[in-house]
Amino acid sequence: MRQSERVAVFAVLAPQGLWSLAWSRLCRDTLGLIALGVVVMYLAVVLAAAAGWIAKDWSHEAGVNYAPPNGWIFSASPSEDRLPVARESIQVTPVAGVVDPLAPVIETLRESRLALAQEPQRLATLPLGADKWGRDVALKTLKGTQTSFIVGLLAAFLSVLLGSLLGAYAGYFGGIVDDVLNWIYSTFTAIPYLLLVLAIAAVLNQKGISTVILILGLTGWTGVFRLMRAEYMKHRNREYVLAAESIGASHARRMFYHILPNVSHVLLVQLSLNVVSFMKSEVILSFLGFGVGVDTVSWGSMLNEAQTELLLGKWWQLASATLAMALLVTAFSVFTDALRDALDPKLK
Amino acid sequence: MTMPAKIPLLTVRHLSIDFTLDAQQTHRAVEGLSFSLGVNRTLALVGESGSGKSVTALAIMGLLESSTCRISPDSSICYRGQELLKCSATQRQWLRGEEMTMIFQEPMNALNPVFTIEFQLMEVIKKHARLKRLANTPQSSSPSFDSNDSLHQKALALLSEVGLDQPERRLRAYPHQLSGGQQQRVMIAMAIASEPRLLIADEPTTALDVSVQKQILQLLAQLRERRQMSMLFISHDLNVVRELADEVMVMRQGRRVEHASVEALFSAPQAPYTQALLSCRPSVDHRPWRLPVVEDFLEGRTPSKPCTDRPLQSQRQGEPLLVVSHLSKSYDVSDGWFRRHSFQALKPTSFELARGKTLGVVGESGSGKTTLALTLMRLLAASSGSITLEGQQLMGLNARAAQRFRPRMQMVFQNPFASLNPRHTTGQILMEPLQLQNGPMNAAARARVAIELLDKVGLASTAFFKYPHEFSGGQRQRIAIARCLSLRPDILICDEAVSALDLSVQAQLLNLLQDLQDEWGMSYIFISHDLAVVKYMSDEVMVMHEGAVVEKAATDQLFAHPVHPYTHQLLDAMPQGNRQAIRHGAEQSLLGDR
Repeated sequence: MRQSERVAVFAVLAPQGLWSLAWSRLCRDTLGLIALGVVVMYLAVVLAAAAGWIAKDWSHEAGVNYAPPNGWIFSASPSEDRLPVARESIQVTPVAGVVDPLAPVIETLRESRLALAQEPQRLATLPLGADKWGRDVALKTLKGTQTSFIVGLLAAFLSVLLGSLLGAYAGYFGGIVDDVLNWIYSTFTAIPYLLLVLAIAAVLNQKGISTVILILGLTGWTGVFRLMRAEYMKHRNREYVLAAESIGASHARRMFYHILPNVSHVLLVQLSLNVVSFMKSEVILSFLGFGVGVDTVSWGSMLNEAQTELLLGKWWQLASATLAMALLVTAFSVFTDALRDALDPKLK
Repeated sequence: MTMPAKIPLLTVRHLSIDFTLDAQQTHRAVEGLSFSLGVNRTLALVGESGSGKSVTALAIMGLLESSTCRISPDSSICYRGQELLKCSATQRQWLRGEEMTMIFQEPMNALNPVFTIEFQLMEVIKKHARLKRLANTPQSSSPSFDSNDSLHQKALALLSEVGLDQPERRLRAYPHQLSGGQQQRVMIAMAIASEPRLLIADEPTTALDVSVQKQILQLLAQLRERRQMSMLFISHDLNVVRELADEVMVMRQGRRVEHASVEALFSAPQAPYTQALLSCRPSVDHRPWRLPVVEDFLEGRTPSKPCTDRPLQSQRQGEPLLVVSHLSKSYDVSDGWFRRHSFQALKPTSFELARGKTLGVVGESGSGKTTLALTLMRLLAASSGSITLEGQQLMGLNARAAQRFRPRMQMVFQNPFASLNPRHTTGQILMEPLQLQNGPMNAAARARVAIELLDKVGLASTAFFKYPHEFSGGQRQRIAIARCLSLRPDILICDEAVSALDLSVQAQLLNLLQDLQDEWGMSYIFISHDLAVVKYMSDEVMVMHEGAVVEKAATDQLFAHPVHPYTHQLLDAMPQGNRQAIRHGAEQSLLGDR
């Protein structure tokens, strides 16, 4: 009895549950941990950018137009076809007795011209080059992380939440609930995607990151719904669920305490897929004018600009945005895979 | 037969097989196994799960996955003087199709669901004919089966040979349109299509009902006789083997325990393990207080021969605990777009159950046993009838009121691998009912109760933190029982609770259930297809057939004097090790065929 008492005490004190065990299993997965590290790094960049600690002056024209990368990461020979800029100015001597009504205006113009001259010279090269206006691509990429990460992740969370909730109800209860939800699902999938997006955008009637998240979340849940409905139908009459019912577990408890952990792998895979596709969808939305405004930078808008730049042979903006996105997407997929394995107690 | 009868058909020497678990660990599934199988003989491999019997069969067939398992280099499998382990893959394949064939446990999984029986059978025959031409054996004078018509005739003949009625119709059927027994007959037809010398049958009757099992065993005995084949028969059930085999080899943990002729093994088993296997199974003749378990024999403890049998619980006076009357369950089945008909899975059933008594329910698959259990538990809504628990009518109660009665009746499910949530620890599983039903009870108190329950069902308290997959089937079933006990139920429904388990584990669990009943005075509704087990457990037995109760009587009376013809049929089909019956049956049908 002593032994069992000790175990009982330990059982209460010990950190219980799936998550602590999952964490200890995750710690043994090196690749998963590296991926988690990368995702956390991105998150740090997002927070820092949001707080204004980094990339605050991303819109500052720090370099010359299309300044090439300086060779730290990419290298490209500086192009010589820059337009000449006039440097000389004409001095006008004032005539006595004549009041020049424009004098104060000209004076301010002159001062600002002087201030401009005192400004540091625009740089010829930048770490990752510059865009059409001479803005630093490195800063743009960092600042763009904020928009894309938030849009991709939150929209994916929203869509997976909606899809799995509705799917769980449809699959678990069946019957009339299933019919109604299926009807909604069919209606949503029957409308062409862009038309649906435009309709929701028209209803929301405002621009901005939150709108993009809502649009993507409200249109992207259908795939998750279909999968979750099938999973719940499959698990509904498994013996462990019947056993839970016979000890008096409520519907909600059976759905979310018993079945959900057993189908969570579907959610995680869908989540990582949706993050990727929503980051890309944000580009389309921004392109159509329903996404983020021109005063905000995102990887989507960078890729959009890169289309025309590429024709001129200025590839660095495309490369930066793509690399940043690819790294995040890969790390996120690897991490969700590792998380899925860690959450499965059957795998060592 | 061209082979002299003295030279064995198959000789296995020092067979050892390792499975790679991960980079470092390997598991030895078979260790130094040697045996030989003579021409026209039947050797039975008997053992519990994990004894390496199926792995041995697969090794002989050459069907083992070479990436995960390794046959040790000094092993030898010699077939008609040819060393199989040194053969090329092509030779192995030829032998596999032509000389040796195999039938599996689950015929449903072995048949392709999207092709007709005819297509699958003709494919085998065609392949056989082609291989035969390639080999260019002197027997090539036999008609070539090129034309579809002759193929069809051949397939028809095979189906008739394996005793399928209406073979023309069966040929056009898809696998799901046949019953389990019919599917197994088709599998046997495919296996004998190439006229093999060696037939390996891996638990061919385990998934089938008792009466079907008997027919399949008869068929196999008869075919072996007629086709002059040798047979390697794999089973976990000694009684089944007794009716069929010439020699028996008992295996345990990959090693040979005993190898003897059937007569010698059953009359005077030498190894303690064999003795244990023979006595673990409840016998139909008497019901001891405790069933002996394997450990008793292995540790040399002489099993205390129980002089007294456990008496049947006397029918107590007074109110019965549970009264069920005219309980039925029917489903609407739609035929076509608008027409529906109702299918009665459970025809109106009435019975009573007294406190501390056990009601056995026997029947074959599809007889409505599980429907009865689920309806009693109100996991399925009954179509009509009433359930009265201690005078309280349970049907028609609203959800909240019904919830109060949930703990009074609990159920142990058939499959211990499906009835425990794989994502919850044993502790979570055992504490959940307490949390849901016992109101304010703090976590420490719940944990204490859970550990007491683990102790009660014979598990160490360290099991608390483990997940279901870390346990064996028997241990999982103990956890499932503990979960039911945590609610202190009055009635425990055991739906085939021991059927998925090995014999020795089955005996342990039956003992546990008996002990718990003695201690707590619970009533059991014990559902099983296994007559011997039901006889051991029950005070009263109910026989079900096609959704209806056909006979209900006190256990001893039912087994001694069955009234209903179906009960007769069930009792006759029980494998009792009656060798003569099967042989006689086989000879009869042989005579009949000629």
